[in-house]
Amino acid sequence: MIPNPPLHVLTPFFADEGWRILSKGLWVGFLLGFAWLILRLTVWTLGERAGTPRHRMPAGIRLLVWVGIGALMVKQAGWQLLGRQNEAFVGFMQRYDRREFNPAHRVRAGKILDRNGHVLVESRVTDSGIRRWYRFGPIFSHLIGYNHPVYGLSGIESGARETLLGRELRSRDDLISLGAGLLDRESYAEGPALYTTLDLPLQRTAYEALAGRNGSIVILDVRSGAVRAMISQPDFDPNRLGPSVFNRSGSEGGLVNRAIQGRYPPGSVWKVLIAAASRQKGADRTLPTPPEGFTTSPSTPPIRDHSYYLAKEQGRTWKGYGSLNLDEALTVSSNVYFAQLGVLTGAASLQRAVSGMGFTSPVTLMSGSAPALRLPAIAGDDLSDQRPYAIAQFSIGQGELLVSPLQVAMLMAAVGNGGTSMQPRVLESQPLKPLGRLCTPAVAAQIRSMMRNVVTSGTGQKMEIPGLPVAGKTGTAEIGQGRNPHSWFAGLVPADTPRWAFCVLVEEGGYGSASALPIARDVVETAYRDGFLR
Amino acid sequence: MSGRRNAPASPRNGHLLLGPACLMMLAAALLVFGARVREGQVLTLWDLVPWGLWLMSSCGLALCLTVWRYQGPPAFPSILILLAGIGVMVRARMAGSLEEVSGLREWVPALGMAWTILVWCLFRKGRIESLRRFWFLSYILALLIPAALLVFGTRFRGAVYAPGGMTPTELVKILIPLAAAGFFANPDFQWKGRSLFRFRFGPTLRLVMGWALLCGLLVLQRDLGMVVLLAFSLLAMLIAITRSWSWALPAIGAAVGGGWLVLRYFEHGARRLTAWTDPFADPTGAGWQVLQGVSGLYAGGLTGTGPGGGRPDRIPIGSSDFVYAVYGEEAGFLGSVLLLFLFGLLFAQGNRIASNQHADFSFLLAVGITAGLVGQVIVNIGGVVTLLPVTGIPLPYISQGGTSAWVTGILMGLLLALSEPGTAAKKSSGKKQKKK
Repeated sequence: MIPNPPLHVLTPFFADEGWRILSKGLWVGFLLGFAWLILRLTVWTLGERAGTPRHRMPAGIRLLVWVGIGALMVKQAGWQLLGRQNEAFVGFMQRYDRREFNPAHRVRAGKILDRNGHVLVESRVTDSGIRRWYRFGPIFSHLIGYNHPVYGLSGIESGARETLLGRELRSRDDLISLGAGLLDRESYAEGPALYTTLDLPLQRTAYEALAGRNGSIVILDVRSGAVRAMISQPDFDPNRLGPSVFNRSGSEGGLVNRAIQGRYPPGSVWKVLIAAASRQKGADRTLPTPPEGFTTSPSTPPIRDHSYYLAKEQGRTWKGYGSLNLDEALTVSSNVYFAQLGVLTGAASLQRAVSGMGFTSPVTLMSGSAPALRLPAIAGDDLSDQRPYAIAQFSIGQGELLVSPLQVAMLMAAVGNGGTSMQPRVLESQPLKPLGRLCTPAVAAQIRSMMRNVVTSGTGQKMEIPGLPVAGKTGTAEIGQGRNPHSWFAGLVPADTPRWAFCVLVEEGGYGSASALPIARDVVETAYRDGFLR
Repeated sequence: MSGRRNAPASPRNGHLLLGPACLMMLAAALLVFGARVREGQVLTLWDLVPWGLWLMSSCGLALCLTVWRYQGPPAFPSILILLAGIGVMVRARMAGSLEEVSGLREWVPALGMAWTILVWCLFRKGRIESLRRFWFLSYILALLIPAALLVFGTRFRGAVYAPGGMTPTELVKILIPLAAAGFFANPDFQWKGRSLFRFRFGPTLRLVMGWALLCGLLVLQRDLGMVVLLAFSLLAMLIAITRSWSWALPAIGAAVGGGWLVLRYFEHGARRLTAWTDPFADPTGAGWQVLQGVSGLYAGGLTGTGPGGGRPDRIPIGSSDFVYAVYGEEAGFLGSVLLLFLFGLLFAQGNRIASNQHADFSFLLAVGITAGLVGQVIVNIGGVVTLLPVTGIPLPYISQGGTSAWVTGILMGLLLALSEPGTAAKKSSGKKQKKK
């Protein structure tokens, strides 16, 4: 074996602080020397005489090679110099590149703003790198989601990740800053801010109103489909993510966005859709509502009204509502009436209403986002006139029908928007997109006035707010023996020229008028008083 | 300007820019060693060996060229010396971080220059023409090597290696240009001036069969990169001898057909293709290697981190296939452009050498070697910067790999021998120049 002596002689020289500066000089010298040699060799090469014209490297091959070398330089510049322009690339490096000196680690994701420019999320430079700071903690937890170095991404943070890192070259100033960035390696560059459709005060009001209850609140802009507020409880704090948040996964956990991913029977709020479908067909039916209820065959249990059960509990007998027209039936929320109406209206018309709402195929709120921002489809295709009992159950929002609070809010919004259902929007930059048509504007106006009657003289009387006409509908969805029903209240405000559609769901909250309605009233009243609803 | 006319366009034999190159290498050595010492490594005498080998072989080359009166353009050997130096620098830098570039493995590639000198001495003064007779033998050897390797070799990372991690298939890069040059220059086959539309059946059949057989063996080894660069080199020779672009048509057809077959029947081929077209489709799987490579480039930026400042350990297969990413990270975009220019100059020199030939065989050999080498450069770097799919072939002069470095050394030795006017052709060329 040949001895291999270590060269300790050199160590002190390189360990010296002066070496740091010297090495920079040496490196510049190396590059300049290299460039000078290349220049020299190029001059030599160009000065040499070419040989006989008979023997030549084919011109096409020469062209191909030179174009190839040029293309290599262009392609390399695209990564090496302009990589900052490629949001997916910056995202990759932030996640997977372990070079601590990589400037990509200093690129900060842009701010997330509400529609008025209030900052909801921003990036902060900390000792452990760049962290997202959620100013309002759990208030926006589900819709905005989180961006965490360990736990990954969800919600808008996930869908807009690349946009938030991006930087487009639009103006001359952008080009100048690009040039400067090439030299100083872009210390702490920040991506563009993202405007959401959310309304900070409204969201906060809704969050406080639902506090402590499991459920959801959704508020939509009727004309544009913009989501103004979206609450889901239980929630989590995106600033304090930890294993405990992820251990409580599944339907009971705080990670599920109940407003979008929740699947609940809608109960009586669904009657609004049945009413629209029936009116759209043209019939104005007056139907009897006997106390013994309505069924489609002797073998199926009769569908009865709540008043019947209430009277039975109190040991009284109930005589029924008598003959009702659609307006009266919606006001008192008669199950017997609507079960009959649904069967008479027919599967085809009901299906048309469901697909007119855009519920028959999944709706993606944000392209490229996690499944959390994907609204699942409602199965409306299995309705058939051969199975009238299923139609009867569908018509009172029970049976196999399951919807999310956002879908109920969309139903209200469609009624408020002249019958046209709009795709829900979460970003200001998303274009307006109609999903379909529930009914004509005339029918929508009729339904709206019926919903107004619910508040003035029906099951939703406690919703009456002085100075602010509200239209709405209560819902009480049975979920089986021994469990309290889910409580719904959904509606439009103001009733005459609707601007907002809202939906409140309280899981196992009992009667719609008992728990969801007071929360809805709290939100609408506070918002009205503080002026957000203007 | 009058002084320039009297003096030759390039200085005559002697210094070959050796002084400036040595200064550059001194700076590089100090930078590399400084970075390694600051990382806490202990330098040993052995770490100096590759640099010493470079210095000795470069001075040796200059000495031999002077003593034996090299007649060719001095720019060409200068380019070789510079390229070998960059290679030593990159490998010495990696030797600190990567297991596979340490000790003897770092020394071996530095010996490539010795082969250049040897081959030049053997085949200069027109002796290279004597190789023409062995064209068929070269072809048979080119078939036997991959065939033997298929039987006796071991698979690693999808390719086949001989015992000791050698890659004898690299020798095909020498054998095929020799065989093809002999084949095309053979007057019996009458390739000269024949377009595709006036082809002769016999020679064309031989060409197609011979190529298909070789391709088959190489594809079985999954050495697709080799197929691509041999095909490029062959096409250049074919067009050069026939002076007809019509031959590009079947070549394009074969490329499309072959590409389809690879996609259809080779899983890793399809994976590499998606990694190329959209590396972000599967960033942690198929796109991982390429994205880690370009991440290194981005981290380096315009001027680079300087030797020793980068993280070659973060780039998968950084020592061979992706060595350009290691270099690009530390040398920056400017250093990369300079290296690309250097390879471009090598190509320009190859073109000059080819056009100075009078015999068909040596002309074709120069064309084949030049096109093959520059094709290899473009295919390798193209894979790193995502211009082309990754094919897994080394970068000449820079990559780790003994066999590859020696084969490149031999090829450059042949080119160096060709760069001198042969004795037989010398007189006629002198006459022609006088006439002008």
